[in-house]
Amino acid sequence: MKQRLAFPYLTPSPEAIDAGPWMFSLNNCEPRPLGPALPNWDYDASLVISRRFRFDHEKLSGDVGLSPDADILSIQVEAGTGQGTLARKIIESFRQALSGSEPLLELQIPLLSSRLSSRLSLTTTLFLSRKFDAVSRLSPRQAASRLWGDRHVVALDGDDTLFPMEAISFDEYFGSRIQSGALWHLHWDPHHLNRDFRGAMRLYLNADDLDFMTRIRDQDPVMLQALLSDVIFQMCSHALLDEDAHVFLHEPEPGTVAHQISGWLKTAFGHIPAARLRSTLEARPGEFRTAILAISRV
Amino acid sequence: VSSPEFVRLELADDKIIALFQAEVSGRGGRAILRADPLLAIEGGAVGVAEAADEKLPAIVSIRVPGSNLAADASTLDIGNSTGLVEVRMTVPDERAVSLSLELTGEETE
Repeated sequence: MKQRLAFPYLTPSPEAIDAGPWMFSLNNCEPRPLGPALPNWDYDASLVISRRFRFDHEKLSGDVGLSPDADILSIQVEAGTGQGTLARKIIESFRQALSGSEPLLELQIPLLSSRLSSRLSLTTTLFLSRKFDAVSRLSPRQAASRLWGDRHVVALDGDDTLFPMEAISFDEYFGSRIQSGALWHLHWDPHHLNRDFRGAMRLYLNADDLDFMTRIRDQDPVMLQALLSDVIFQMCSHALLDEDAHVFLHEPEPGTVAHQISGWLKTAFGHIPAARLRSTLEARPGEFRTAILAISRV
Repeated sequence: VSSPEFVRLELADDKIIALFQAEVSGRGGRAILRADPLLAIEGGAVGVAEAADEKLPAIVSIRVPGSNLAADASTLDIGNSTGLVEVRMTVPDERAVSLSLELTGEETE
């Protein structure tokens, strides 16, 4: 993955830190990889997250100009929760000092499910635990200087939905306009694809149509497929037809509208560049739409 | 123009310089590549005009390796050049920075 940020000091090369995937154990079951969603989670569940690291301390120290035996590195994990890309509340902060003689590290962190809502955000940071009198001008010196980090965001099953949805009266919202007869309405701003996905769009359902609302509540698969495919098609087609938006689809920031659209496009069409997908959309719109319909099956 | 990638830090006159690279494809005629420094903030980056601070990054140079196209400025007419472009910018102490690149048809400065 491309590194877009430049810190004011040297940082380790990717070879120096082998960070394994986050794992989770729910209700004392065998640990499993933690994906973008946490299935079967509820507020009473016993939840333990874990992760393994392998550090090449010699390489790491050489990369940033530190002494391997300085023992001044610490790793921190912050578990946050709440809606949005950035956690609204930090519920757990775990910190451990690294030993330059120990390449392996395994973290196991129990979390209180009752304190979680919507999303679980895990931010891992490797940092200088104290000030360091470095020889090189480019070496990190200040305590808390961040040398490496990543973030993993998980949607919590049973609490968060794929889309922010809201049932409203279309008769009241649209009045006498023709849109009042629609079953749903996607409200979003197509000009800011780098915004947080969940904050940038909202799907309004027509609460006046009782049959439709019953089907949604019953999770009628055909109805959900039609609804999801319409939303996905609207957002994907707009992003592809707007050439200025292509830059956002190329390596988008996680959690953004562009990231979500890019994920849908990859699921439907694989790793095809946006310019070629636009050609497909323009030349063979039926084929494009059918692919979106197919990936919308729930 | 592709999204820029940070390559390495360099030292010049005791100033910390960040080297970024990107792929460009000139449109012919006057294809102006414009580089804008960004300050990293939690969850994203902002332009320096939005940051009320004296410790701001600045573009040092833009050059197309293997050609004589280079400028000690934040814009460069790359004509119909295609390939790698290098952008150097200063990095203030205690700040993380990023870069925005834009290709336009006309000189903007």
